[in-house]
Amino acid sequence: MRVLLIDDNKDVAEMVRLCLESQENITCSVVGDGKAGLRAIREDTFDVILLDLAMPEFSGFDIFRALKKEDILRSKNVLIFTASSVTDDEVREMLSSGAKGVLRKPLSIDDLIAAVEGFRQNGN
Amino acid sequence: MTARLTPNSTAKPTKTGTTTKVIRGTSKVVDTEVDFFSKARNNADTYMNYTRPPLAVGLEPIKKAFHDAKARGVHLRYLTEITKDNLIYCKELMQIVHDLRHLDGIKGNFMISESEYVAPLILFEHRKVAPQAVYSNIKEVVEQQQYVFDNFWNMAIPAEERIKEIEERRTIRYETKVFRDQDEIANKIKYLLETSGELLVCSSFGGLQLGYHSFLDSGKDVLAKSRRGEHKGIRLVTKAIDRDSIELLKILLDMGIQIREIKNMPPMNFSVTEKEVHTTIDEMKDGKMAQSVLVSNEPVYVNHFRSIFEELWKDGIDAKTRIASIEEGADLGEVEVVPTSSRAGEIYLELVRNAQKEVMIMFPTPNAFLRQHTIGVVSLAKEAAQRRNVKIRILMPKHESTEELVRNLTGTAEEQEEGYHPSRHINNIDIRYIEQAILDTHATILVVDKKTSLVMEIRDDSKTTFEEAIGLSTYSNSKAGVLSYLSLLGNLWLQTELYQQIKESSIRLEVANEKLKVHDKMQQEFIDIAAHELRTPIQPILGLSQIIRHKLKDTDCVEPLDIIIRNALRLQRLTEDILDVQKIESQTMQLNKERFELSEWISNLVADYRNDLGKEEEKKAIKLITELNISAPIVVDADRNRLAQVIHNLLNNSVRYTKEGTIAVITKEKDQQVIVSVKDTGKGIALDILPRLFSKFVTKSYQGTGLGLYISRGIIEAHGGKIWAENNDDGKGATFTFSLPTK
Amino acid sequence: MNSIMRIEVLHDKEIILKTYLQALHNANKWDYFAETKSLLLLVPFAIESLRRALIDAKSRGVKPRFITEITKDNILYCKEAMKIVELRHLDGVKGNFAVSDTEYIATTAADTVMGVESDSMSIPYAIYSNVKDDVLQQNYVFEILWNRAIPAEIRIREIEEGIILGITQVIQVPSRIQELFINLVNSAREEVFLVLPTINAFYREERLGIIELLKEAALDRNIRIRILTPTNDDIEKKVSTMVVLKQQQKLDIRPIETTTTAVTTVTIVVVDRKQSLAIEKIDDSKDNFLEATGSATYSNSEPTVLSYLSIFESLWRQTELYMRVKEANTQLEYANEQLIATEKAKEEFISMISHELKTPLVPLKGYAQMLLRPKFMGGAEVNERQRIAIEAMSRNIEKLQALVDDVMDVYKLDMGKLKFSMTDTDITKLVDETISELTTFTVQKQIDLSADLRINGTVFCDPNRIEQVLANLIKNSIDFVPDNGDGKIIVRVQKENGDNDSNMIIFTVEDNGIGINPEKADKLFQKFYQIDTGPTRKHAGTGLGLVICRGIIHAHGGKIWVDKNYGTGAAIKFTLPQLGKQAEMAGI
Repeated sequence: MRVLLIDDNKDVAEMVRLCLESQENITCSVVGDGKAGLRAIREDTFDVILLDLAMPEFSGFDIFRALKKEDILRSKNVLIFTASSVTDDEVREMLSSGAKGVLRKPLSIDDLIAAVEGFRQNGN
Repeated sequence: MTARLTPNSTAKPTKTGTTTKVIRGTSKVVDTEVDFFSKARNNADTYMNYTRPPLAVGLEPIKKAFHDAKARGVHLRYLTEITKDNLIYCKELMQIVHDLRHLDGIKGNFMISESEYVAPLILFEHRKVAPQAVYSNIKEVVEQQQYVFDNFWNMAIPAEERIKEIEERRTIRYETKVFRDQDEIANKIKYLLETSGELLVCSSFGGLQLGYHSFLDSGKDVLAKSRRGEHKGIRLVTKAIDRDSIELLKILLDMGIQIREIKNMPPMNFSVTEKEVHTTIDEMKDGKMAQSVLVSNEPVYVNHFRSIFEELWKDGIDAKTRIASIEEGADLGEVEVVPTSSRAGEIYLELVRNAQKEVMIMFPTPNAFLRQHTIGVVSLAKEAAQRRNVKIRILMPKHESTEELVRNLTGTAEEQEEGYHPSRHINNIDIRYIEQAILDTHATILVVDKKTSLVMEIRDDSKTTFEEAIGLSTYSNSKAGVLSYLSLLGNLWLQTELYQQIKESSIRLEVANEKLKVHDKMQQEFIDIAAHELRTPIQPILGLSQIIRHKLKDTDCVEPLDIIIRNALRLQRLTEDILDVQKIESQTMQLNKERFELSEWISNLVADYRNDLGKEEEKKAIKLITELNISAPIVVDADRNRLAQVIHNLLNNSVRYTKEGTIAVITKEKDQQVIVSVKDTGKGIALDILPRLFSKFVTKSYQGTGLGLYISRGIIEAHGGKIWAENNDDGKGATFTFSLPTK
Repeated sequence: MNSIMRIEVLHDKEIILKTYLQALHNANKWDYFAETKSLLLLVPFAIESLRRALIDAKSRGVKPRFITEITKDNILYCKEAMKIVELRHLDGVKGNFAVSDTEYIATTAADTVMGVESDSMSIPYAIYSNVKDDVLQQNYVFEILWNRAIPAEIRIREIEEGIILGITQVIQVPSRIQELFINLVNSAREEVFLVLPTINAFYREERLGIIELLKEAALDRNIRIRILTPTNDDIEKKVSTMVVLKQQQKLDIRPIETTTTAVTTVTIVVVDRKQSLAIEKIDDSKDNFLEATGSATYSNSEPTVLSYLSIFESLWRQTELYMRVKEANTQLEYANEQLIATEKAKEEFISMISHELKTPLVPLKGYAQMLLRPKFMGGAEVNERQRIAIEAMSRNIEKLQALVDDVMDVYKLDMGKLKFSMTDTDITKLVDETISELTTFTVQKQIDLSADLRINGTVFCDPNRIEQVLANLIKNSIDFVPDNGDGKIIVRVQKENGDNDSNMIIFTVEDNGIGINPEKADKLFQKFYQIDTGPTRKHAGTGLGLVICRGIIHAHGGKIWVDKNYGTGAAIKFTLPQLGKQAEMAGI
């Protein structure tokens, strides 16, 4: 399974990668820049995309909106991965827009793994 | 009515020594006459034909008799026919007797006193004394003759007038007569017009029609004369002009007649010139000739009517303007002074009772409002509002004395919040509170249905009843007048509403602001407490992680632990930063100031930093140097730790944004200040961030909270210094500088 | 003599007097009109017989009415007269006449007839008439004069108090009105008030030169000018150029508001408190004064002028107050904006801090967890001592996370910014889910956690938040019940007071633990208050839990409290309205 993490925090990225890649058959790519992240989503195929919201210059929100506009959001498995407070209504809104889930930082590694594993398809 | 006694009757002796006898002989007659005067006690009246006055003044004995009697206080009256022939004598006679009068065609002669009667033979010959006279002192006879004399006397005209008549050769006889014959009347009217020098007419519409239809030519002649300057013209007053009379009046106006209108004129009709007056009560409907007309050339009478006319003319309204305004549909309306407070009260109640659409009242004082209540206006208004859907608007000052009544009126038990003036709009009754004007006198003003106004002057506001308090009132249905009040009251109404709105807005804002201030305080306090609380768990995290790292430093676990430590430190820094920010915001940062030498201290600081920097791979390419541009040691009075915090912060920033090159810490002295700069060759500062660099809210363009610079500024400013930043001139990197005062 | 219809002239004073008396004697009504100058006015009273005859007539029910010109010279006589007759005043009375219902006598001194001045001893004339039509005519004349005349009381007041009745008249001709307007302004000696109804009116008056005239008047003649007018920016600029005059208190222009639906447009000017002119505008769109003007009412009648003044002064004060309050309001608005901005800024700050606090926690938490699992460490294991340390670290990380969360919740609650997602929540489901989430803890400690639901149905609330509350209370109980197997926690839900009509549902979390000291019970809901802060504390809380519970419950419209009368153990209750406010209002 291929996982993309878009997050500008190196420590977070490192931890997530270590966590996920310790699982069976998961590769985790990390992009620390919003624009590069969007490009990566477009150009490459990932099974799960972990999207941090707060990033400088081009934020996760921007990526989210772009994907929505290009109407590819629903076809991707995007999990919002954020430390910002999001209300239940906002969560519902993002989910109805096409996000597949919202993960609130900090979360336990078990929850993180469980969330990602949910998108595994047939031994992928 | 001359009673005659037959000249040949013999004297008959009567009961109490009274007698009637005939006197013969001129000398005896004269004697009798003289005697008559000497015996008279109160009055002696003489009635003689035109030949006698010369005798009266010519005959010495008679003349003397007159004088003596007058001197004794006897009232002398003389009645005769004054002609131009005996004029001189009569003039002299006037000086002798008290009153001299003239009567046309006097034939008889007699004298009468309170007790005696003497009647000389009637002679028409000049200067001849009567040879015979009748004498009587019988009471009945005397009385009767006195009666006769008095009658004649009343009909007589004073000598002065007769004399004037003669001297001015007047031939006009004054008379007052009622005419009933239509032709005669018509002639009289024509005559009036033709002989006039000025014509004043007071007429109903019927009279105008009559004049126009039947006397047009005479009228036109008169007007032609007036255009030539030979006549003073025709002036006409008539009653209220309405649609029926407009046409004819316009014609008359065009002809040149001056017309004025009198409202409420009763059906009077008269025409008066300088000489004559015609009056009638007859309506002359549709121009029908009057049935009876009174005609008089009696000067008194004529003048009487002339002055009545002038009185009416004075107050009349010019017909031209009146017609113009009727045709334009403008209603003049009237303004009436209502002199008594009781009448004003009646009108007041009536107006409110009959109001159809709206009533607007301004009570200038609280007492005014209370007083209206006593005559029942307020309850009438309430009724009008409830039953007939009349909109009631009341302007009044706010006062505790009126509160209950107001509540009663609007039927509300609304609670009054402090300072809240409700615009009470219940049951069509709207009350707004105004500021009481400080004046000597006030007036309650009522405007009903935008058509009528009643202004009631408050003579004495301390009185409790309407009658006692109100002085003069002015009633008006004049459009301009009513509108003026409506306009002013409307303005006041609007202004009070706006005032209330703004006041309410202010109150809301005050409440909101208080709330916000409370929030602000809460936020401050809360962050403070929270930040302190956060320290608690961070401590063990940091401590434990460092211990474990030490134990596992040679294993694979070391990297995660480094990351853990790094992040724990970050948390700690963040918490401390938050606390610092709080201290700066609440200005409670405590500085541990010491005097120390700055330049050496900086050198040491930089040296330590250089060491630590060298441990990081990525930062190896950076050269860190110090520059000292000072002539002598610089001593500052500062908090070392805090100052170190600032310099570390600046160095951290520079390091973060510089991949390679030089970071220089430059110290120099200038104007009793020490200036320390940290100059790098890094990315420089983006222009849009530059203005907000030292504020709390820099965007997250780099990692970290960005509070460092804000805190640095706080620290420097707490020391009395300044801090600033700018990009370098050579385009490479930026320089952060702060100043400190030196002692 | 009297029965015959006649009109005649009488010359004799005696006769005249007799005729008067006779007429009075016969009269059912008596109206008299006389000049002051003439002695004849004094006659009724100087002559005793007439006076008595009048009194007699009065006693018969006659109401004598007299009109004369009352001046300060004859005021005393008039006051005497007023005791017997009803007296009214008319200016410039000429002539004399008396009229009853059947007779009329007009007298005049000979001099007035001849038009020649003569001394007072000249012979009086009198016209007598009892001709019906004629008498009627004279009655009419008297009525007109009577209606025009002013009651003596008022005239006397005028004379004694110096109050001027003056006149009030309507003027129709615009050119006249314009002339009058300008003249009035020019004639001012002390003060001028002017109220303009519309902005166009201001410009019109300005074009007419009125404003300039007023300025001059203020400057040159030291007259106090007050103007109320609607303003726009342009007018305000003009006004500001006159500010110097304002400071000298000579010329003061205040803005008034007008509605766009002003039906009436009247310019009102009051000069020296003595004269007023109200000018009606019939077409406000016209630029020219003459074209715009309809009719006008002029008055120098003191009561009328004062009435305008009265409203004007009120309006003047009102506008001043308004301006002041508006000024204060503007400042308050500004302050409000500042405060809101500040609050917003602080909020953003706090939001940022929250984010910045949580971000480091991610690797902290993650690595702490991974360190204990060799799978993630590439097989590396930690020893027991390290394990304990790392677990301690993890606990603190958890606590830190909980603290950050709680701090944010409390902050939002305090600011009233915590958002709820309200919905009809099934009570049974809510309680069951909460309990199942906490089963791990209770099983660990052998605590019996059960539900006692005495009501079913729904409650209108935010299920996540109420779950949070229940969980918090249960967790607290977990900390304080024995963990030897005897511990028992019950979650009870029932209607308030067992009353089926009440809208409130009571939730109770009760346990058989060590209980709550009643004295400390109230402090429980304070921020950062911890009941037990000793080292034996098992479940170290953030100290904010109950604060948040209270905030949530209050926001729902309920109450939360400690049941002080509970026996051994503790019970905390809270209420929730079963139906939301809207539903309640809709009467469901």
